[in-house]
Amino acid sequence: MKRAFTAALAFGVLAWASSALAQPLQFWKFGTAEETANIVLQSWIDEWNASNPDTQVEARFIPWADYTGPTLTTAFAAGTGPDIFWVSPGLFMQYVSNGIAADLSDVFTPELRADLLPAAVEAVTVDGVPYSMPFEQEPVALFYNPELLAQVGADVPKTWEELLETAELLQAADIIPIVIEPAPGFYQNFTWYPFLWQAGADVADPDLTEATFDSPGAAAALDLWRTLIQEGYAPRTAPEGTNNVTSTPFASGQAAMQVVGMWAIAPLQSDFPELEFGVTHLPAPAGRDFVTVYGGWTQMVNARSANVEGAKRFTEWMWAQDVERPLEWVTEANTKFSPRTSVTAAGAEFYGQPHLRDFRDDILPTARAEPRYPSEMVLIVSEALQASMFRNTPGAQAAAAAQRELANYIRTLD
Amino acid sequence: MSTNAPRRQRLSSRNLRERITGYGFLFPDVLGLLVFVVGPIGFAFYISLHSWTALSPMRWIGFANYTRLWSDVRFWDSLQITALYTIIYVPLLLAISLGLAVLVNQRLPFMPVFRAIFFVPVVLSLVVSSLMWRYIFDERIGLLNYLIGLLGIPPQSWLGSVELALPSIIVVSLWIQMGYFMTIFLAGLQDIPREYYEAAMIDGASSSTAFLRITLPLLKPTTLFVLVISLINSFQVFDQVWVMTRGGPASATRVTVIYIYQQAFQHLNLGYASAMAFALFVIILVVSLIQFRLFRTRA
Repeated sequence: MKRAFTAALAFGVLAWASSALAQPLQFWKFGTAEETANIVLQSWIDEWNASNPDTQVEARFIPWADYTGPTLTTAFAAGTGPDIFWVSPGLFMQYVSNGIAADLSDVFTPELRADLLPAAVEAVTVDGVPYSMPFEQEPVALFYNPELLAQVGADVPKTWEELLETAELLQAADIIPIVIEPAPGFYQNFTWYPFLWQAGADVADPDLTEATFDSPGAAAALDLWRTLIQEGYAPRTAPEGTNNVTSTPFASGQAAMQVVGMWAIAPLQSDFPELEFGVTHLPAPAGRDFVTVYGGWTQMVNARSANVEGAKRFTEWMWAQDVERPLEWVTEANTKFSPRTSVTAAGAEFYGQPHLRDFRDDILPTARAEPRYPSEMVLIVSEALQASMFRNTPGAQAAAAAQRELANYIRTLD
Repeated sequence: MSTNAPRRQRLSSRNLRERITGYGFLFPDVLGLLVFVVGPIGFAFYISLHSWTALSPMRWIGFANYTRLWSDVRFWDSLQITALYTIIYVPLLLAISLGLAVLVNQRLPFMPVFRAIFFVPVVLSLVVSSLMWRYIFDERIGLLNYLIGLLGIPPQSWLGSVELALPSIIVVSLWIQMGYFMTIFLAGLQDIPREYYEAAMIDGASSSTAFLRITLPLLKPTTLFVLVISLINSFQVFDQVWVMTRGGPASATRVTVIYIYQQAFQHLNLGYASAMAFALFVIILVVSLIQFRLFRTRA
């Protein structure tokens, strides 16, 4: 009787385990199935499924606002989170500290580590353990319209002072001087951090033990964006967001400059073939080095997945094995850089094209990874920036107020 | 005695059957109310007593979220913005929808067409309406700046200015809602017997006197309904704000529900967001009860 019960129990467990393994792995990503990039991802999934009948993968593409809003959160809350998903630097720590992110140490082989840029590995590592797979880098730069600058006899600005002088000339000529992101949130902070760093300032120390925002550099960076808005050099709104470059006045030839990332090249070239544009460093304070930021999603495996090993193998197959797929992702499905040096080398011809060459040779070497601050810190910095831009709060005052809040928040960590 | 007893028994059993039938009809609604309204409210209160990120198990913290709420400047700011929105929006909505109702209640040609036109925004989704208005308000290519430009007024940043963003959203909310409440007022107006107005005319009352002495008093139940519903709507405003400004610029339009959404889904503070939602529920309940009491007293 006892033996029969044990056998039945073992059979039940085996049946449950095999049914769990038989379920297709859920791969979630933002966007729609019709997007070029997602069509490429789907073709990879089809290829994987054809050769891995025991570990099938099913993609679910979720509209941007829902993906970055309630969908992932509620799915994890209900215990129905995906097995594999993409995560932004802003939410990376949430998933790590709550035990959702699986340890990917065995995927990060010595060969892969040697191939990846150290900063890319560092950006996904906590206490020596990698928790997410980096596969893309998108540095931010200054896009400029040489024709409009020539109309006012201005060169491409290299310093903040030159930027403001050029903006004044352009405004007098009825040209929109520059487009920066006006809406509060992760993206605005992301595109503003380079200005903060160029001024020698930062939000906090690297270990997040001390807030360092109340500094002359932070005040100056806040004041720069305050001037751009308050003087009317930059539009106060962007109906579709400035990351969607095709909707901005820069794309339509009405603005002379825009702060935007590398992803803007392809849509500008395809949708606005008549537009002549150049790419250069973001202006820096006089005497300071150029610094910029790069963003990019990373791929996480759900540690609570019924098939963690299968999800890891799929992730490894997508990004860590051959060069072809990562190269297709950064050169055909999108215009980005890969954090793998072998992939960038294999794409030498692609990156030798105008604009992309500037990004590879000049801008990328000055780029830092997007900080993975908790969302509370993002909110505090965002409010300081918004207050400066739209309430005309002096940078020093906004930075001091933010410093107090950051210090209070940092004390609550751990 | 003996003849009455069976009759009472018969009546009782009929009564019982009627009651069972009545409860039978009520049951699905009550069940829906319990499952979809009372249950979630209770669960929201339960969550509000926990620290919960949705990614980790809930941790009981008692009333700590409510204590935090008390000292959260952003929450009080958001309540202040919501209150300002309500104070401007509700009276304007009442005045405009009543005014439209009076207009389309006239026995003139094409009135059904005008009623339909005013009602159209109600059938559009809030997101579609808000997107459309976002373009109308655009500082560069927007229709509104073009129109005021014809009058020689310089272009304004309707959604990019701390001073103009909230009023602009109020305009959109009014545009969306006025048709619905116009219909409610119209129904109220058509319930007032015409004889009252005829009698007033015979007595020499002017149109404005008739409006003040007959229309407004007899519309009191309708007005109470409109007031309560529009006030609840205004405390819960979200879609149009999220689509048009996301709470910006510089938090000038961060109403309470936007802040609750940000805490819940951007900062993953679901326990704290639930505490705010529950606090907002209590505020709406209290304000609604005050309205009922005021109207009852005046009646």
